[in-house]
Amino acid sequence: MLRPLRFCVRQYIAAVLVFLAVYSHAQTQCGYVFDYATGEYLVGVNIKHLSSGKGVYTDDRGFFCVSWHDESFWVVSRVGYRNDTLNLAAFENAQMQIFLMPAVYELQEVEVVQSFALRNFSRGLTLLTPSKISGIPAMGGERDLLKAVTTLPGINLGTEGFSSITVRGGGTEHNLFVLDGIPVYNSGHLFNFISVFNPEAVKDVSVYKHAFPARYGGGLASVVDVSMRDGNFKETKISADLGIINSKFTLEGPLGADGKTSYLLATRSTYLDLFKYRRLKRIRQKPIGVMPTSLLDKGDSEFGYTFADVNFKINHRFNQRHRFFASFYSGIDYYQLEDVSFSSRSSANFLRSNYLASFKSYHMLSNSLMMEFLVYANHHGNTRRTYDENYRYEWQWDQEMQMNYPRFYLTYLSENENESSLTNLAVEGHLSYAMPSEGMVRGGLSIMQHHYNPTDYFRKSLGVDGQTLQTSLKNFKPRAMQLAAYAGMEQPIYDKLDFSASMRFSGFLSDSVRYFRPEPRFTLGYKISPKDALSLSYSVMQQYNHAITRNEQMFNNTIWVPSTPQIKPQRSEQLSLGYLRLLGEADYQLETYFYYKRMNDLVFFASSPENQFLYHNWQNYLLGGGKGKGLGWEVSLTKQKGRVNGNVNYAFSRHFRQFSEVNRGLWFPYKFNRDHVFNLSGGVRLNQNWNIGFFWTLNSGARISLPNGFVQTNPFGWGYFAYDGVNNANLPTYHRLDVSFDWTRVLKNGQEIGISLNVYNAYYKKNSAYVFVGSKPIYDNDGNETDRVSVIKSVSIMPLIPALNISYKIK
Amino acid sequence: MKGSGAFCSVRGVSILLALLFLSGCEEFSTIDMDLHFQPQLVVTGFVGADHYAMVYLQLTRHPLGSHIQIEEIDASVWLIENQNPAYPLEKASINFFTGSSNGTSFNTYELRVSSSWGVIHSEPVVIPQIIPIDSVVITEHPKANKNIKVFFRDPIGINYYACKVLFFDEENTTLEFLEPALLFHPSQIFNDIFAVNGRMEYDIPIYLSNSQVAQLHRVEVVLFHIEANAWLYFDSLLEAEGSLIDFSSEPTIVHSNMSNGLGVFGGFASDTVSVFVQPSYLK
Repeated sequence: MLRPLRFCVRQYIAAVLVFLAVYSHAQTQCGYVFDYATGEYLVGVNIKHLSSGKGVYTDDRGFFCVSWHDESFWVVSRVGYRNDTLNLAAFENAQMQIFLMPAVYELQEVEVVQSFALRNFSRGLTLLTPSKISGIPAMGGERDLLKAVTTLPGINLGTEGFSSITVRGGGTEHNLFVLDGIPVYNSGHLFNFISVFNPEAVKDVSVYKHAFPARYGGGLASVVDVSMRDGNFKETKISADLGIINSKFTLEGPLGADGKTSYLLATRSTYLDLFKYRRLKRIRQKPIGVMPTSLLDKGDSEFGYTFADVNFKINHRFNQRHRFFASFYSGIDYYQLEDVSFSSRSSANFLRSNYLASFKSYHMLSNSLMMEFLVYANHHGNTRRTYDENYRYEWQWDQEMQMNYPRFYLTYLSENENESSLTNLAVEGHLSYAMPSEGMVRGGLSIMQHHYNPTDYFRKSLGVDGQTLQTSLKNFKPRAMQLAAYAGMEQPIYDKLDFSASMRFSGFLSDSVRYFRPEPRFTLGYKISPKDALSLSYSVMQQYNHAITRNEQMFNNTIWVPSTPQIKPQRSEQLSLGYLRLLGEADYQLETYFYYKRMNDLVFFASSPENQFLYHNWQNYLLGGGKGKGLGWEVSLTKQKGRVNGNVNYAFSRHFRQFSEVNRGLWFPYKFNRDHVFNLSGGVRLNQNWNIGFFWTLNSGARISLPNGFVQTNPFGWGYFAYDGVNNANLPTYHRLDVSFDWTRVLKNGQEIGISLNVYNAYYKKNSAYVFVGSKPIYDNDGNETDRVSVIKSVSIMPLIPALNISYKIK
Repeated sequence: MKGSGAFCSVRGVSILLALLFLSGCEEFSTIDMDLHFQPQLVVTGFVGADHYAMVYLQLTRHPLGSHIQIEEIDASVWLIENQNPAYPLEKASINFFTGSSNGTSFNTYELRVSSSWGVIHSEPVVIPQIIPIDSVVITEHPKANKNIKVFFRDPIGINYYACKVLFFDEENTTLEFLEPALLFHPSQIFNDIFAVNGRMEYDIPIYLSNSQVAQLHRVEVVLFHIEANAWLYFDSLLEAEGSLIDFSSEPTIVHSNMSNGLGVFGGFASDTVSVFVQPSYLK
């Protein structure tokens, strides 16, 4: 037994020595690439060796490392910028800063094709830039990051109009959203119609549906990593955008004259409530007992809503080796409802908040070794308050006034306040080492402390005997520590293979549990030819926080709770096989993927989430042990060159769930799975001023549960529907076209004005949002209604929605 | 500011478009969907302490159909007590079967129904103990809603209750009744139930018209101590009421402890207390 082992060890050491001998003569150079106009670092810049054609790309910090043996000429290129050719040997032992000049668009210009494809294909990365996001027509004119993400195959909107996404059969709570390194637990504004990510503040978005990098953990289905812009290092810029849903204001520029510090301030706010502010105030102050003006007068009722968010970031470059930035985000959603009638008053208000703060630094410890250090805090909270007064009244005769007047007696009074939140504090450290072999070794540690508050409840009510009762529920607030350590290597092999393997160990510790889980990940890319590649990836992800989603009228409210001895961490593993083909001069890109996914220990909330009291005992109603499985096929064709560009993709998938308490323990179709999804999106640049965008989608209707019978009222209770399965039917097929017409003009003083017309659902397809049982009249020959029959009625909530936006940029 | 005039006119257009967006977006249309209807046998039954077993059989109808006339179902209904040989229940009326002897607390009962739809068998259920009502108090507060306080002692463990109130006049005619309200300690603690050292107090508000108050003579309170299947059935039935018309909400599956069929078989024990009321108490 030992003899073969010693033989293997000798062979292994020999191979390593040969490997090092071959690659030890390589020269290595690292550096950054920046935008010459703004000074911001550039992601996805291709640095290609002139003679061999091998290349690397800058990462999400604009950083790169290259190695070469002999000739040292490299071409630096990226879409939208002029190429640059450099002799890197001239920068021997010095860290480089390369500045690329933005390319001015010309009709005859030969565009640089962004051939991210081969490299990022094997890494599972899809990069969305602001230009791609802004090219997608948007509902209400609000270009939305998450809606742009849903144009990718395998990513769907959970519900029409809303920004919660489902990725390859995962739930809406299984996506890890990250903003400058900070997890974001609530990704939606305006009842989740738009995301919390202000497009004006976004630099780029990295989307992973599989092959998750080892530094990410905590989201079973996807990682959406949003990087904020740094701000302009060269000059101050102001831009304002006026739209029908909200307006934006952005201010950025350098601080100081040395060009080392920049700032960015991006804000958004609605003004929907401005139209209703005075009316809400009037209703709130209106007394009861005001006589109705007519029989139709039901009283006063009004609803108001507002959202606002602020992104602020400061960047500072100490020198070529050390950089620092501080990033802040604050966002709120607030709605209120006021109602007063002759003998009652009620009001409700709801506040949802997100606060994020991070401090990050990059340090080049050597030409090959980079360290990243991050400290952050985030807070996600919900507060709901309701107030109700009811009176009974008796008419009494006033002898003096000679008239009847109502005398009121308070019969019911209730004030309720419910609060829930999740707060995190975290420290992370990451190391990247560029090996002489053109590979990278990465490792890191993270420690995060979670403070959960599933529900704090306070109620004051008038007792039926006239006494005021107060009830207060201070829920147990669990705390937990989440740890993670990872190490991995990425290595190209013989120009054909691109291999990466990593192991992430994560742990979750609280007073009651100790969970430690490994999360292995590997990817293998094989370049068949300069235009063909295969990829294979395997990933395991763990999620320790669980979401309980509650419908609060128009809000889809989510409460986060920790793993417990009964509720284990959720787990997913995914195997994905892909093929990429570049067509023509790499201006067409064809990709196809097959994947299989399995999930364990999924959670399920066993009771109606409407009952706020049950959140106090959430441990008793949150059930675990669920399973998920599914597979899918995605194919996508992208045109990225020329005046007309776009993407057409198709995805087929089947996903199922199984819980012992649901559907008699049998597998059932997953609610948010759409068997067939076809998307067509793109843009036409007519000239320097005019751009047309379009998006058309055709997909299977959403899953619903249809009953197969009705149990009529009997001596023991009223009637109810009987079901033979869960999610056993589909709504009718869904399709929709969105178009946008964008006009921009640069004025003589250098300022820029733009007008954008967006039309959502341009041919007014009445897609079903939900269905219910209604009735239809039956008429006789004379047109008289003789009977009514029950029918299924479909409700569509998204009609044709035009929107006009005006933008103005000042330099 | 340059261009402010243009901005004002554009802003006006934007406001008009905003009003269009906010003006209401719902559209209704009738669609056809295949509901895969197949009639199924539904068995609903209960057995109580000091109360005979009652079982009702029915068939499901089409989800979109109208009320169907009751058709007699040819079936045999059997009751098994403490795993003794089963004995048949007698048909009291169309599709309604009753036992000849009362149930007993802490005994185990199972139901079996044989018909052309196959054999349907219930899970075993245990009739809980009778929880006596300690007292019933009617409070008098002229300016607030009147209420009835029901006091009883809750034994150790998880116990499920329901409470029904009936109001009678002097001729014993029912004036009003309150549907059984499901109570469950401790989560119902915020819905007018208070527990002090195991002694439960349940407050029931009274909503009677002036004429009903004038005729009121007697209030009867029935406290049911029900086992888990009965509780889950009525609780899910309440929840299902909310999704009767909306197919897109999460379906509420009404609890069933029947194999090969729909319906429920549950157990209960009850105590009844009557209180004679002076009308002057309720002004």
